[in-house]
Amino acid sequence: MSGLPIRGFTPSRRSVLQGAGAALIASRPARAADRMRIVSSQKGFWDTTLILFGQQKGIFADNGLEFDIIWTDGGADIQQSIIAGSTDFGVAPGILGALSAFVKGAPVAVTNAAMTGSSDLFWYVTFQTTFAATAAALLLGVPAGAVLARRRLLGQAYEPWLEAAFAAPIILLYPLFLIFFGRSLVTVAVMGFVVAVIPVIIKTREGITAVRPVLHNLALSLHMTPLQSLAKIVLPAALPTIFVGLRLGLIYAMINIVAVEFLVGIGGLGFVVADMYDRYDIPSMYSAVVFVIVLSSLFFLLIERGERWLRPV
Amino acid sequence: MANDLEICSVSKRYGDPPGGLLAVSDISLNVRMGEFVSIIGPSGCGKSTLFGIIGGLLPDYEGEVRVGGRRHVGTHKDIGIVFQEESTLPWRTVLANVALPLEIQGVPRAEREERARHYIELVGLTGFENSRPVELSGGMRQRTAIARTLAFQPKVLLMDEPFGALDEQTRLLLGDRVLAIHKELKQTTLLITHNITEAVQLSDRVVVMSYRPGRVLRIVDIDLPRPRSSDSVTDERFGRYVAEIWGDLRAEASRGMKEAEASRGSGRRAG
Repeated sequence: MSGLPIRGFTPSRRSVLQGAGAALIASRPARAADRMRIVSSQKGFWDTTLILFGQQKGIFADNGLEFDIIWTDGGADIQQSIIAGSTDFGVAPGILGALSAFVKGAPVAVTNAAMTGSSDLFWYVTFQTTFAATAAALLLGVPAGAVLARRRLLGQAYEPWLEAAFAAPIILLYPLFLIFFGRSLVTVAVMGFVVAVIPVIIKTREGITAVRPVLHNLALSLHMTPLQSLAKIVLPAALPTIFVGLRLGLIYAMINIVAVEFLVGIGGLGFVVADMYDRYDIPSMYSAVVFVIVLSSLFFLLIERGERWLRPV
Repeated sequence: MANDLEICSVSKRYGDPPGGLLAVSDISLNVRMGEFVSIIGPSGCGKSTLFGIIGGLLPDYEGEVRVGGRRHVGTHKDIGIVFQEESTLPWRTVLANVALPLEIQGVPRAEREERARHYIELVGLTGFENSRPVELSGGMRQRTAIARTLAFQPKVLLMDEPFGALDEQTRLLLGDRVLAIHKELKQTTLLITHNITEAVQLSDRVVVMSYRPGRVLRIVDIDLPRPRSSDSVTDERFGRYVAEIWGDLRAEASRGMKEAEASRGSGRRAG
């Protein structure tokens, strides 16, 4: 996550921004007389915009602080402007960039290494992406599986490919996904979706194919339209198998999403695990791992409720 | 009396001649309005094929099936089917199972539930409206299926060994139930069975079929007084009818058994 403020070395003002984020301080005097210049990246993103919110709310003014905010294209620009001395304080410059600048002896200092924003957003991010990935897998996987079940030849042709894809370590393709979908939560959700949709398709096809012929005959004898037969007979009959696929899909989505978060650092519980590990904050790391488990249990509960609601027996 | 169901020279061949299998050959049968007819035959006589043809579930056959004097292809709303296999929907209650055909027809909820309750009472399942099939016995599930088909209000009730999976005593008692329903609704019924007692207990006429290819061997009028019940089995005439039908069936059944065993033997050699 990019929650590091960088600022010029003005110790008396340091406390003002603590708690709002990690900070780097340039180890040379601030440019005197001028208003302070605070630099941040990406206006409108939740962790970079806190400084703007604070200014608009008048929180800084109440404490006798006045400054201008300059928006850049990202963490590298923030760092450049701090080191060059054109700005005093950076918010959200990117942890790794800030740390490496500091370690290499650039004239910066970290004032606060805490995450910007509320840390509950991390579980929220993982919840959001996993939910989106699993829901999309359900919405697209069930129709796809139904088509493969109905068109027998198509089903037979694609089944081996699906199974091969199911076994493939798609997570290793994450650089490719980053190129396609950018460095954003969309990439994380898409990576979750890609692995979740496969078992949903496979199990939907299996469930629909296994519907007993007598039930198809029942639909015929009651003069059901194809849609009625799907809604009242085929899908309810296949539901338990479809939900097996959904559970598998959820597991795979969650594993992939947490792993991508761990690798890429866009946010989420996976990132917290990686971050805490990097800081050697082992208890926090394990609590993040436990939280991943809690979150997956929550999802399983949701799925169980959903199944019970759709088909009581 | 008018014929509700006419089966005219129906034949069905699986595969192409000369190699294909002729399952039923030149079957003709008329079922009068309100009549209860059973079709009985040994295993492999094409009973299920005939059932599929009459029910409109099997395409590509020769001959005609007429309902109410009109030829029909595919399933017909005047033919209600009760299947041999378990066909209740396990995720629906008895009430919702029985109301299903009415739901499909777009009958409003209150009305369809009222009508469903009527048929549930008719098959003797009052009190089980809110049970699910898993909580019921096989016989109760099959009665649910019968009530569901009756709710469809078909002109002709077509049943394919509905009690085939049940034990003899349950079967006799369910036979009583079927008799009571038939007495009440005067429903034209065609029952396909391999059980002689059941056929004699329930039917006005019994059609005896030959082993493959299935042909009508003869039609036996069952001249037993109605109302009947399972007590009819003690009637002296009942025994005579059973003996008579078995006399016809015996040769066919043993021919069927021999051929089945022979094909099993050749299958083993081939394998």
